[in-house]
Amino acid sequence: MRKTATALLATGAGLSLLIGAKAASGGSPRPALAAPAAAAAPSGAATPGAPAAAPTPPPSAGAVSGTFPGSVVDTRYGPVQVQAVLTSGRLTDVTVLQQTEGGRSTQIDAYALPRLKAEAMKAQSAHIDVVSGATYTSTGYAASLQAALDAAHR
Amino acid sequence: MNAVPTRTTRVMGTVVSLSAPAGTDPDRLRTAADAAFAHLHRIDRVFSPFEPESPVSRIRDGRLDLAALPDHPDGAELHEVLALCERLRAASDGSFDAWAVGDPPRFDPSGAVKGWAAERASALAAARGLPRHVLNAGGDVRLRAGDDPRPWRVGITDPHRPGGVLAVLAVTDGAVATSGTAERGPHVTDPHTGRPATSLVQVTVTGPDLALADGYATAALARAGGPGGVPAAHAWLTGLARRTGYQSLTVDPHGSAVHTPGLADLLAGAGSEPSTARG
Repeated sequence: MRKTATALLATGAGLSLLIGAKAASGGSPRPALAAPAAAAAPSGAATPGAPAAAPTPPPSAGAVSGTFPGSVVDTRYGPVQVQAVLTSGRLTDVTVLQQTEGGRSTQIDAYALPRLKAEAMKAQSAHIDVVSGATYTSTGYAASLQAALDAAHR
Repeated sequence: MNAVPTRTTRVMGTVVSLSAPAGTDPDRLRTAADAAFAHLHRIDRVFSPFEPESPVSRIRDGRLDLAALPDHPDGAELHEVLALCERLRAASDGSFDAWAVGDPPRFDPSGAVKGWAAERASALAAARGLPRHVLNAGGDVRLRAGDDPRPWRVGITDPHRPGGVLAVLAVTDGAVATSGTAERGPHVTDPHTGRPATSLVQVTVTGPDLALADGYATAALARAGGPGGVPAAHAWLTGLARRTGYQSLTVDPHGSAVHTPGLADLLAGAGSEPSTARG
């Protein structure tokens, strides 16, 4: 027991936490040592699987706002579908309508930090050349998202 | 921004893409991609554990003696992968063991082959007229600078949020490999227990060489499912960073993400202005 605690402490000293610090940093991307993510997770605040709150106004001319479902993309691990939410032409949210199982559970989603989601959105709007760790389902996600954005800008 | 010339192929059970800077002559990209992809398809045939007559299947089934490798047409490459497997086994204290995959334990070097093959494919593309490129082998990426010092921006996927990214790394020339259980179900086996390693959902390792980065990420994921669990994997990754300079980031099933201190030097501002076309 004691040994375990020591090991954990040693590990904590060697590794800095990414999520909480990074999301809170705003302009400064450099993370500082932060409280454990478990403590940072607001209990009961996460709403796994909650759909985008906004209803679905049809796209109009000019700066587009609205919710745009992407196409259903078949992957080896099942269908993937996302919808994009645009506000005045900017991508402000992405909601997964369908996703494959692949070892991911809704229980896990409950721990996803709202702050992390905000950070993910910010990153998504920045220029990224390539994503490490994306395989089939992410490819499907990207294809579905692209279809949603194409529909929005048509 | 989206007009990045890219060619893709399906190989090794995944998708591999080769992307060039905007404005690259399409013929130039095609020539480089043809060479890189042909190499990957050939390696896939040699190292496939599913193809009964592949050299790897024959080694596994005891029909190809290691002593005969010097005379085998693919002997040099088999020898290179076996040496890499041994290096990774030693570096990971046995967490990564190509000779003890699954239950019952069998020879399967697949965990080392993809990154190794992609590293070579990227080198081939560079040699065939595409010095600056991104090669993405199912999420394990090799980035080459060419003579352009501007770093590439590499997102690290968020295993708990498809399409989201945890962080963005600025990498001028090097590799970023991510092993995970989320995208494709548990697929890394811990040789100590023979069971899928699931106590970390994702490990990302970055350093100069994709073969090593991929192998280290796979080893760390296996190690997290071993006797010492996640703390042992973190301690090993911290030591690895100190010894080799390969930095890492892990995500556990609760979404907690931690990284080695040196990774902070690579973290790019996620909110910075999009850069213009690279060329």
